Amino acid sequence: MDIIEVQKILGKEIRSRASICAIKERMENKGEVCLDMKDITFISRSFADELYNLQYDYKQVHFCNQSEEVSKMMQVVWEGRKKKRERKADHTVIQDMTSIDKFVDFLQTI
Amino acid sequence: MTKNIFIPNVSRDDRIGSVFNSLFAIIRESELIESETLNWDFKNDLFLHPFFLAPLAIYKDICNKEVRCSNMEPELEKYFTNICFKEIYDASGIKSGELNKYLEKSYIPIVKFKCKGTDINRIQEILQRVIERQSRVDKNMRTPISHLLSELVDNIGEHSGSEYGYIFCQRVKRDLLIVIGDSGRTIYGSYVNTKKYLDIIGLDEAFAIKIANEGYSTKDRPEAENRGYGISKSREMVVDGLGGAFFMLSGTAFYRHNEQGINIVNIPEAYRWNGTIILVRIPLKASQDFNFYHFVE
Repeated sequence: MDIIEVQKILGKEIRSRASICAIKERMENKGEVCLDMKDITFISRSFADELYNLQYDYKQVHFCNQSEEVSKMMQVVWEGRKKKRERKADHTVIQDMTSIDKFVDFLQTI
Repeated sequence: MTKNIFIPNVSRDDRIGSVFNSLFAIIRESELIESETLNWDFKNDLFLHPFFLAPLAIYKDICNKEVRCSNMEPELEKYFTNICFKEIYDASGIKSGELNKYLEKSYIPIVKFKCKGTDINRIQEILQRVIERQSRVDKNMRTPISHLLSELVDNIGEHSGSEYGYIFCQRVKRDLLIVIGDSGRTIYGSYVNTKKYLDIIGLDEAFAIKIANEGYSTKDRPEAENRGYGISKSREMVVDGLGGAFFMLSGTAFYRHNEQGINIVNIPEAYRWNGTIILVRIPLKASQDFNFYHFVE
């Protein structure tokens, strides 16, 4: 199994979704891969989502050495992916203030 | 010929609406002037609210006019120099330690970054370290701030088509005021570009901003509604979790969410913002019962 040390490629804090591209490049032409998350201190929700996509698309991906915070983010996001999406209904009525005077008056109230 | 525009004093008034009124008025006046050279006259200005100043600086950066600034009191001149108002700080290639002079201040410079740059992670990390140290941000706010910056900055690269994104942060009293913006295709433009949800949005830019805040993404995978959490959950975290405030301006749509509720507004065409700006106010310390993971899915 090939081991990819993620921190050496992406640094300690992984914030952008597009960061996954660098991991995928390293995985090219490899079989079973372990992403070593040692020394990663933060991953964003979006990157955790991309990690879910990665293991969904490339079945032979494993993860090791996640910190508590990284593990927790992966756990929460991955569990969310397995559930039906529920959205909070927002019944706010959209207000039309396309007149400058009306919008100026509204802004003075907030 | 250079045209002169007087910039009003935009105070520390907690009524944020007056800040936006001043901002829209100045931008509109600047746009109406056909001259390619403007002079913004800051006579009598002592304090300019960050939610006024940062968007104004971004407008100055993108407006294709030469904008000069004049008549500043010495303290304001110094502040403008420090926040890089006249020439926004390009954070490309930024190195750790470069912003150390801001550690004793209550603000960072207004920063621009290339959306497709390879150092976006590092730029945010460096800025956040400065913000945390200068404002002695409580450690229970570190992950929320990381989350906020990560998701909102990432949205610029993923959706706006903008070449640059912008970040500013200033501590005012016991709050952090954060501004994140771009000059891209707007929320509405993003749905048009991907042809998503147009049957329900129509031509209504405020409706587009509404569904974006409800988590409707332009980029879900075919088999899953896996995206659209960046704006929606960040906003909920800021307002419901942290007791802060969230404002968004995109095209001719304005969105406000704070403890008083939500307003979603179609605003005058004359006030169109060509891009998206998000402005948030968050405390330096979260309450004891705040749980970050309540706002992550």
